[in-house]
Amino acid sequence: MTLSEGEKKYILDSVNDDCRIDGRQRNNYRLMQVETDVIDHANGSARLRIGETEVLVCVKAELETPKPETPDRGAIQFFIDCSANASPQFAGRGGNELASDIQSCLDRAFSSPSVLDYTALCVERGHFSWTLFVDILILQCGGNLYDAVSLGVKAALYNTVIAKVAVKFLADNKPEVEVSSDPSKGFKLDVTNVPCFMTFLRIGNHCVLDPSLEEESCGQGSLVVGITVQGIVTHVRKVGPGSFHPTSMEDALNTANAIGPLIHMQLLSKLKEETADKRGFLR
Amino acid sequence: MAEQLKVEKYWVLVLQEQPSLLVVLKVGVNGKAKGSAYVEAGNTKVITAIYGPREILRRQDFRMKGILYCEVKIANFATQMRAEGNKEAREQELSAVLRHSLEPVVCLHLYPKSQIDVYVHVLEDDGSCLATLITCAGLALCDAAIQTYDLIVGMGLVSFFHLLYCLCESMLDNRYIGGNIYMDPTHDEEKESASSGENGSVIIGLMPSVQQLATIFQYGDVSAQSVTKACKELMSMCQEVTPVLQECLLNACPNSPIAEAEHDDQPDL
Repeated sequence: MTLSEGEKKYILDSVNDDCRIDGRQRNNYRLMQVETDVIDHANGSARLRIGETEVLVCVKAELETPKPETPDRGAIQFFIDCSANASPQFAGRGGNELASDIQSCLDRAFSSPSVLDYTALCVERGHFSWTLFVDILILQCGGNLYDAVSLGVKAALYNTVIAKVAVKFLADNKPEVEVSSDPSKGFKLDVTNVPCFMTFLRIGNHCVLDPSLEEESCGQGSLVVGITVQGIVTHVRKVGPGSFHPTSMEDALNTANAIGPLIHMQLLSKLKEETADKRGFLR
Repeated sequence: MAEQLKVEKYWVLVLQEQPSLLVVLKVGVNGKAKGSAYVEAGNTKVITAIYGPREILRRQDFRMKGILYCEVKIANFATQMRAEGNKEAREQELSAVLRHSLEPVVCLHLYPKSQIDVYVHVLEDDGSCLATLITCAGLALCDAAIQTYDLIVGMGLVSFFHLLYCLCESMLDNRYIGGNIYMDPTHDEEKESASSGENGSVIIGLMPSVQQLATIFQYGDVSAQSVTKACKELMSMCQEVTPVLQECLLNACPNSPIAEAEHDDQPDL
């Protein structure tokens, strides 16, 4: 988005006065909407909307042979599609750079073993384990993609149900998978420790949370912090041009520590509410 | 204490406590490139070449600010196992992080309609690859006479946090100059941190004279306070290494008064 100098000045001043152009304070998020179980074919799915940003996240689990170095662990893989619907900038290969940035952030944030119980995804040591393929589609881009994507991933993982399978060894010691005939039988993942990103965009000397597209176009760089419900930081990365003064980075991390767990708890309680609220086809 | 030696045209930092660990710096290693640098920290070896600024030909890329193009390649033989892990994804990640860390350093507004290419090759990766390549790219940018706000110094931190603080504090007390040698985790240490629970790594890129963090990269499980604390430690280590980098650059300048004066004082080693 291209803004005139006057508009940029207006945004900069509004951030300085702690009353942003849409009336929020620096640490306020926009209204969030989350809906789970939107794709039938998937093991889990979620649609998440923050302001004008909308993402669709879909989890598919597939049985694969685990890697030889981690025979008793499953895996998670992220794929991001920045569709040209979201922004004309993404047409052709325009969205690839952003997509690979978000993907590598997610990979890093999920690389720590405490995030998900990867051993629960193992079916038979050395033979079968579940790999979760997380496909993220960006439907609309209204700023703050990192946060929206990570919250969407958490919601989709919460919704994910994986079939219970048993492995039988045949006479020649070949393993064979038996799927339970009851499709409702399955297990859910423990998503308590799944991290979410909080993006701190630096505008002038202050950092704002959940920036809109207008604010992003006059920001000087942002700090992406992946934080869990317990306030454990699993990933920090500076993205975009611009640098951070050590004190503003410290402030951002402290804010993340204070607000991050609250966002997690809110999201989880809303997800629980939503799941309980579903009555058949009509919601 | 650390000892600085000048061996032919290489700058070598030797720690008396651990003479097997060296940091080797050299600029101007590639005659064809506009600027180049070679950094060796422990066993990690990185070489960088800068080409440009050159004109951007495609019209849709027209911009009044210059573009930085960063490409990091890891040699197939750089890791213990050939082309270990998902090498391409790692290269992409390193390239992106390097670009984000150099963008605040280079005065891009002075290079309208042009592109500066930064090519980094990791010859051997024994841990602290990112920190080393940030430092190396910073030196190469200066060698290429690209206008920058400051020199960028990369520094990585040992991964085990409870151990780390005792290590760091004793280091700061003793004021080792080549502190990054201790800070640079080796490949095995990095792996160990990934497998056990309460650990993480922090890497920063500091612009020492303006006191700005050009980049920060952390992974693993760490509390927010520890990240801040680690950054502070890293920053002071960066400050200590900076004079060595500056001296290395000054010596590479032809006709630099310092280089000449030193040349008179010291016989070649």
